[in-house]
Amino acid sequence: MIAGYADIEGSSENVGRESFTKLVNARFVEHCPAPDPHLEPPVVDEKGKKKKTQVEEPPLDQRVLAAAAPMESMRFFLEMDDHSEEKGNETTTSVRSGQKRKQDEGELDADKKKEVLWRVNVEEFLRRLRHKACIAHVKSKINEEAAIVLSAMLELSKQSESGLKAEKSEYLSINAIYDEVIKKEGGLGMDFERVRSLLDQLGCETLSTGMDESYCIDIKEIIELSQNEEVESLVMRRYGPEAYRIYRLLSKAGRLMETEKISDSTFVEKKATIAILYKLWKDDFLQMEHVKTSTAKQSDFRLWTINKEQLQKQVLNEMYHAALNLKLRIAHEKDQAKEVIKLPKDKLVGESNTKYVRWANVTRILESCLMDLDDAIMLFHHF
Amino acid sequence: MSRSNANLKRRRPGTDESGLIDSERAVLNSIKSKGNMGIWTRDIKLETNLTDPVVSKSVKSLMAKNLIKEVVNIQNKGKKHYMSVEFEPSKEISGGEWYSNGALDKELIKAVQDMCLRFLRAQKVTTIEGVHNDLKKSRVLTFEPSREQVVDILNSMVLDNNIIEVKSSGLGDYHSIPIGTVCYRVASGAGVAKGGPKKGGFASIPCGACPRISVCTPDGPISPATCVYYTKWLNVEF
Repeated sequence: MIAGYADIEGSSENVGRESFTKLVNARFVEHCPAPDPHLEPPVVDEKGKKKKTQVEEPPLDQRVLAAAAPMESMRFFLEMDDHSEEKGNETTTSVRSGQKRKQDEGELDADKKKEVLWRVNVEEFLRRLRHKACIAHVKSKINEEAAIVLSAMLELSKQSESGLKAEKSEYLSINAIYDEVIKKEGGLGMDFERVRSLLDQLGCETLSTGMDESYCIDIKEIIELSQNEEVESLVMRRYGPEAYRIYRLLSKAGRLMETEKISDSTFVEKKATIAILYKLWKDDFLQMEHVKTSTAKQSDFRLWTINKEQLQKQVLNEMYHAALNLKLRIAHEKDQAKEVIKLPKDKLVGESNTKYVRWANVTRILESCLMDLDDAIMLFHHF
Repeated sequence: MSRSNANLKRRRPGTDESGLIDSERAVLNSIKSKGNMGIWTRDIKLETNLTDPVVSKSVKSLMAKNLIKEVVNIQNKGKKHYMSVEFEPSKEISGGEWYSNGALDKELIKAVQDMCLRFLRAQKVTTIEGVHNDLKKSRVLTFEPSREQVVDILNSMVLDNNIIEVKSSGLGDYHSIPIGTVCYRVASGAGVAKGGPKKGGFASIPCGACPRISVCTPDGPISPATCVYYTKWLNVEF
């Protein structure tokens, strides 16, 4: 019985180890940073003053984090040695008295070495979510097939992506992309020409060397387009379709534009254009420059533009506020329905049942909206 | 004595064969000299050296005789502009084909946009020239649109997110279009015409449209627990 129990224990340990290996291979877990990182002392000259280097040093906390981070090759290093095997070796090895102390020290070192701490690799989760957001964007903007090709490309280049915010994928050969595409669900029916055409629709950069052709996708651009879409949808909701058109014009132009030109390009009456521009400007969606000329017939010009960086910060702040609001409303709804929530199911009849169903539905809606909002927050905060 | 002779005898001093008095002739000449650009009443006064009441009276009389017409100047709708009846307002005055009586002809724009969308749906992808030719062939419009006007319309549709601007790759749907040529295709997903673009996570909740979000606090007079927009939103769902 004992042997049987040991077998079960052993097999569950194996299963655990196997699962853990899988997690390490998929980079979902990684080595913890070193607990006592060594920082190089600042360079001091003869007079005891700190030497000013040409390149500005990063802040101390960042330097510590960088020093503590395990080497890239060690982050996912999993020792495959077997503990029992080690023990077996130990028993068969004859220990000579002169080597005893040395060996003890060695064992201690080995124990220390083996004591590897692991943690969840948040970066990997974020990278995968970033890829997911890109794929979802392409799926809605182009089509399902383009999304399959993109996901194949991201799959191939993920090992080489350094850091979370990789701007571009590496150059991938069309053969490798094709091989990955046909492995995916829905990708089997695609031929070479179709893949090539989709790569083109995705706006991939091409590199042709002899017989081989390689493609690279601009991940940062897809993220930026998704961010733009989020802000544009906000403009649409708050200010209506004409403002949406005006905002998109300025967003695409990326430079200062004059009121009249904006009115002409968007088919919005000049008076209405001015009203919309002022409203957007008042709410910090736009920046305005007032230009006066003495030569032209019209001497007073107002020029408009979007400061995307500043606007995204503002929108992100409002999103955090909205996320808090959703959470508070969830808590409020729970508080309002606390009496019916406590009731056993068989006592939920009539009005109390209606109240309970309402609470359940409202909570479901609020929580699903919170999840969508979280996705949007990630788009601006992490990606 | 015949009746016509009697009329001749009664002709007002300073009138010519067309029955215009000197001031009216001066005003008419001033207006005619501006051709299809028209002229502002104040400029007529400056050019003719006539007093305000005389200019006003002359303009009124010329209008009654159907020799001049009032036109809306798109650049300045408040200033009354006049033009000789032989002329049609220039693009600078009228604002172009997309304007009618000084106002943006939204119905016409919408109709042309819908036509373009139909062409694009039928052909999947097409160039500016393709849309231009289709519009000319259709003969629905009372005027022949210029290439620039077609570009204006297509650009506005891109801004509405109804169509997307792409460059031809020469492959697949683009096989008949030279590589690198700017072309257009219908955007997948909804555009403004179909009820708005894709709603973002933030725009889908009341806070996304809330004009008072900056004054909203957990325990303040405006708070998520007492928010009327939230209450309305959550009650509408069922």
